[in-house]
Formats: sequence, structure tokens, C-alpha cells
Amino acid sequence: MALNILIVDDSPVMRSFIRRVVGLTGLDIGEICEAGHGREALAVLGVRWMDLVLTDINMPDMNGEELLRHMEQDELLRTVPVIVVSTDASVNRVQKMMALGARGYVTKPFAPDSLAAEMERALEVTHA
Amino acid sequence: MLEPATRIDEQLGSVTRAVLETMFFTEPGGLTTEDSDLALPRLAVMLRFRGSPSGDLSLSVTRAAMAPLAAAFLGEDEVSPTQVDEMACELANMLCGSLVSRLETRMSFDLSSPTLITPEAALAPRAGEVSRQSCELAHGTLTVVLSLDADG
Repeated sequence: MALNILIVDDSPVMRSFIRRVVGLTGLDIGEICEAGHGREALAVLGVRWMDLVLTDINMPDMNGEELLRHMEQDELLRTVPVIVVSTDASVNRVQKMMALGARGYVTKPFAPDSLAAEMERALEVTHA
Repeated sequence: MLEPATRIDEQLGSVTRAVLETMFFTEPGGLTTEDSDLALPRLAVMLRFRGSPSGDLSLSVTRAAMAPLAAAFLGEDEVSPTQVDEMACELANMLCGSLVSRLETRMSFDLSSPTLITPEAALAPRAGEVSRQSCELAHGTLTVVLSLDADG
């Protein structure tokens, strides 16, 4: 079944880049949706089923950490795997986001292959 | 504990090269502390980081150099001036995040949203400046300046 992907990043050019990488993964991709911050992401998740969320951390209005907290509090949304895509490679941040429920963490800059591999890993975990 | 200045210079150069090669598929030329084409039209971006240390990073790049970088990043033949501006902001964001992650590998930090500033402001000497690196690109020069707060 085709996978719906939600890309959450306040940078339009970064969303375009990730969209392009997602298209190159070889995965069966259905709909790719975009959101500029966590609140927009929750609005999308409220009306469409997403199989995977790729989110930045530093965003206005609602950041990636708050988005993860909201998703974890929702019985349905907590089952959706989230991969964090961030410039912050600090050990504290990675541990914190994983503890909040993130299924993967990719640090910018990243090679397209590394994001694709993390997506496949997160989705296999989900569908196992 | 902060790195010595020469180590920060090395880290800034290394981060700049890694970001350009990995995300923009561009191999920069040699690193220098001099910017050779100040007379050309440029755009500039600054963002602040808060953590341990705190400070700001500014970037100045010739428009002629930024446009092909944006095109390579987006996989498009042509890009709009707005996309070039957004791309410069994202480049600054990635450079700053990568650099601060290397300066302090354990503590997390917060980045402000990158904002466009005048090239003069980006390149002016500042209190707390610890590193300034320029690299040659295909159509101009990219200069990155790192400053740390006095208490950072």
C-alpha cells in the first residue's frame, strides 16, 4: 500500500529537498503533505492518515519537540512513526527526542541515502 | 569547555565544506580569511544560537554564487530570487547547527530563525568574533563569521 508522508519544516526549500529525497527512495509513496510548523502538522494529521512524519525541531509556533509530545498523547497518532531531521546533533537533543517517541534521527547535513535508510528502518519497525 | 580559536577555524572550515558537498553537491575551492569579491552584489543572513556557548553566525555570499547552489539543492534548472534568499537562510541554519554541535557535542542548543541582513552588517568586525572563513565557489565567494557572547 502506498505510504503517505508528512514533511514538517519551516523552510520551504528544505521541505522541497526532503520531498525530492523521499521521491528517490524507491518506496511506494502515496501522498506527500507539507507543514511549516507543528500546529500545521497536527491539523494535517487530524484529517489525513500519514504513515510517516519527518519533522524539524526549531520551528515557530509549535516546534518539533512539542509536536512529538502532542502526538504521544494521542492514542492513534502515537502509532505514527516520526523521524527527526535537524541540525542539532547534540547527544542531549537526540536522546530527548528519542525518549519522546521519535523513531529515528537524521542530522543535517545528510546524504539522501541516509534519510532513505532511516525511513525504511522506521517503517519496517512499524510494520513488523 | 570552548575549543581554542585555531580549532574553531578548522571546525568552521570543515563544516562549510561538509554542508556544501553533502547538501549542495558542490565542492568548494580553497578556504581563506579574505573575501575577494566584495564589490559584487551579495546577500547576507544572520542567526543566533543559545546554549553553551551562545553567540551568532552570519553569512555573506555573492548572489551569483548562491543561485546555482540553490538550483543544485532543489534539483531545478532555475530558481526564483525568493528561493535564493530562502536557500541562503537554510544554508546559514545548517552551518550554524552543525558547527555548534561540534563545539559542544553533549548540550543541546536553540537556534533563532535566520534573518536577512545587509552584507555590510554581516561582514563588519564584531566583539566576540572568533572565526571568519571564506571559500571560493563557482561564481563568487562565501564568507562565514562566528561570534561568541562574552559570557558564552
